[in-house]
Amino acid sequence: MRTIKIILFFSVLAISIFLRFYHLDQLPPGLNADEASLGYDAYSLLLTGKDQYGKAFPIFLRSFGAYQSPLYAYLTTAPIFLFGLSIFAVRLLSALAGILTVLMTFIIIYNSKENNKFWQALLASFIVSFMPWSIFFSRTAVEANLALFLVAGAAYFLIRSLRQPVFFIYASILLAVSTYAYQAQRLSSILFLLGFTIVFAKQFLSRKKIVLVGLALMFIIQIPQLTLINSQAGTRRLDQVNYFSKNYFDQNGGNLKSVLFGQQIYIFNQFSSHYLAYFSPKNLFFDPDPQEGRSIPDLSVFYGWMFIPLLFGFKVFWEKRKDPTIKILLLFIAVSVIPAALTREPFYTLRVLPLFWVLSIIISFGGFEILCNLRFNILKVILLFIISTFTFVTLYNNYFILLKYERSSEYGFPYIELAKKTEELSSKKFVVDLERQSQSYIWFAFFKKYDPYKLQDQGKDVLKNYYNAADFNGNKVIGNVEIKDDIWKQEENSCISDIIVGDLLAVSEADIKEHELHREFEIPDLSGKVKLKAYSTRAKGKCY
Amino acid sequence: MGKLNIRSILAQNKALLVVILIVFTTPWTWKILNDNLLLCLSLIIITVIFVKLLLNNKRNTRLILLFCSIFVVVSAVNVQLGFDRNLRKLNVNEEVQLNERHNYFAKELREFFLNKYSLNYYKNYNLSFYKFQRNFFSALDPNLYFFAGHPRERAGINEFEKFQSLYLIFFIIGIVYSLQLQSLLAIAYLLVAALINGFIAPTYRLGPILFFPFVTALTALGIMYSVALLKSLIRKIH
Repeated sequence: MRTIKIILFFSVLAISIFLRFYHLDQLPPGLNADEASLGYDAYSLLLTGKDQYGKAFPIFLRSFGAYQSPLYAYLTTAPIFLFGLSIFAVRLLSALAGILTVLMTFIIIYNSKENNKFWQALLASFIVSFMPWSIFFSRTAVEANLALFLVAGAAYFLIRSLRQPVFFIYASILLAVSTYAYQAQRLSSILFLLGFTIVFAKQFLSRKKIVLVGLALMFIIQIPQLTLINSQAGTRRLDQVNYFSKNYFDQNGGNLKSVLFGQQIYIFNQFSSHYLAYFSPKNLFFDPDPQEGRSIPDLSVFYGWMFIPLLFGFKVFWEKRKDPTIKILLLFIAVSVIPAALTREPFYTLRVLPLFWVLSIIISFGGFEILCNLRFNILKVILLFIISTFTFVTLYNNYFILLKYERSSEYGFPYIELAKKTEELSSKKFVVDLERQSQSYIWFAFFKKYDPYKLQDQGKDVLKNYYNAADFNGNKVIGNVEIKDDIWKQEENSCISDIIVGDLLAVSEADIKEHELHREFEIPDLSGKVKLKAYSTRAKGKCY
Repeated sequence: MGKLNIRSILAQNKALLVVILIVFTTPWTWKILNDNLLLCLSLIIITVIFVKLLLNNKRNTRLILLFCSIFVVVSAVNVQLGFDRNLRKLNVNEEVQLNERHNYFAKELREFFLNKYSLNYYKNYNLSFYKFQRNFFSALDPNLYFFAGHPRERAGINEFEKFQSLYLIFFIIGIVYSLQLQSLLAIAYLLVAALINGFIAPTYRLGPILFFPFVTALTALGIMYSVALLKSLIRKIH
């Protein structure tokens, strides 16, 4: 029996490794702009000790002006050192974090007081391993996935701390570090630790020193970020996305504008509706994240059939609500949605990965309850077989096929192909329109492995006030490629033969006639739809 | 939550009062009433019976039969009035997407897709199944009932307020209390109503009316529980 258990455990681990590493560099096809930016910053840090703007060891990465959390980039220097600047190297950390989260799920449930803890833990880790949200975010370079692993680790330490209080300190350290992994954790990790301290106050009354040490360590680790709290880097992300401003209320307040305390009521309604949206079965089981770069076509964060085990899982969780592990997981659910609910986006999946992780565990509990109530083992086997087959077919069709063909543009595929073209035609100068894709320079920098010193030189103006320079300018020169917003603006006394590249709206028929342009090539995405068009000028003809 | 004397409140018929309070302060009631008086009354009756069934210790066969009978009639009327005629029809965009995806699947799956069974399912049933799921899950969105679908309002659909946002907290309390009661009836009603709603168009002018009793009943449960809890706390203080 023990051998079977070991085989099953490693089988689950093998499945989770396969689902995360299979064609990791090819699917999703390309790199989205944020991935490319993270990867290039890691490359720049590795080679120069500075990010792409020349900031030495930044606390926040300026990137495109949104100031990302830096931990992922710092840790990615290792894979880049080993494998070079590549899609695989950039995504490796996220894939590993995803696998470790599956492992952590097993460890947490196995160490609980469940009667059938091995089977419960095995089912929970198996379910997490093939969840759409887990596979999707493990296969893209996503800081939130790294943060989730850290938070899951902290959850394990907190559960252990109820028997061995010293683990509270380790949990505090992990939660503090997680705030450098993803922006949402800057709020939710702190709330979670405080919530835990309150809920389990009785257990720690005689161990106040340990609690104080843990909280103090959390505060100390936060100091670099706290010093920037009044900067744009510290608050930029929330400023961009919240609904608290008077301006926003004036534009969207509707009838509440004429009501006493209307703005406060409006904010309360917004928070409540956004908070609730993350628990809506419609959003969880059917309607994916509206942003195509954060979702799988026609597949939300959970598979549709999981709605039924979720219902039973909630019933089981309610019955076991006094169990400390369950209490901690429920606290996770309550707290992890708060940062997302403070923002305007209706269903921003990336911000609530801890919620999905706990819901996955609840689904596994519900599934286990259903299986236990089935009388005949043969029925269990048949049910598991049918569901597994249906699920894997769905996953394969939607993720491995539809995402590849329908979402390739979201991952910069046309620009990556263009970057390769510019290498082939290295004697030519390219002028790329950035009007509707202001971040396109990063794909060229990444795939051309552009010298970080040269890119830093172009962005050095922001160094004067790095953490308050949120306005982003995508005009760059990357080797033989100039990315600019006015592709028709020519330098004085220059009349060279360039290749102008833009999307379908960049160059009109009138432009072609006026500037005597000649169509050179087109770049489609993987579905075959043309996304970029390239035109050459006539060197002996009119200078535009 | 402790074990409170909800059942004694029921015995005093206060459950009926609470249900009436919610019903008459709910915008959805008036919308349904203006459209179809008989339908509205039927839904209110189902709601009252649902609350009684949730709170009754003993199995009341007559009440269950009455509940099921009215529910079946209301469901039949709902399906008749709001049937999604686009379940089996394709619009232009859907047809384009279907053809494009056919090419992707044919290229990647080859024989696994290009056989008569897979092709038949893909061409004739896949999209209908997808739309059925869409209708099924659209009724399971709590934001639809308490925030007129905000923040994910559906394009092309006239969202309207169903329940006061204030009732949300009582609805949640009601769900938790029904978990405590270990009520399989609530789960069964939820699933059956959602399955039937799978055949109803999302544009149906009255919305997912089969969920009117469910949401009202659980909200009523939540209010009654909260009142009982408050009374219990006051007694403890005194």
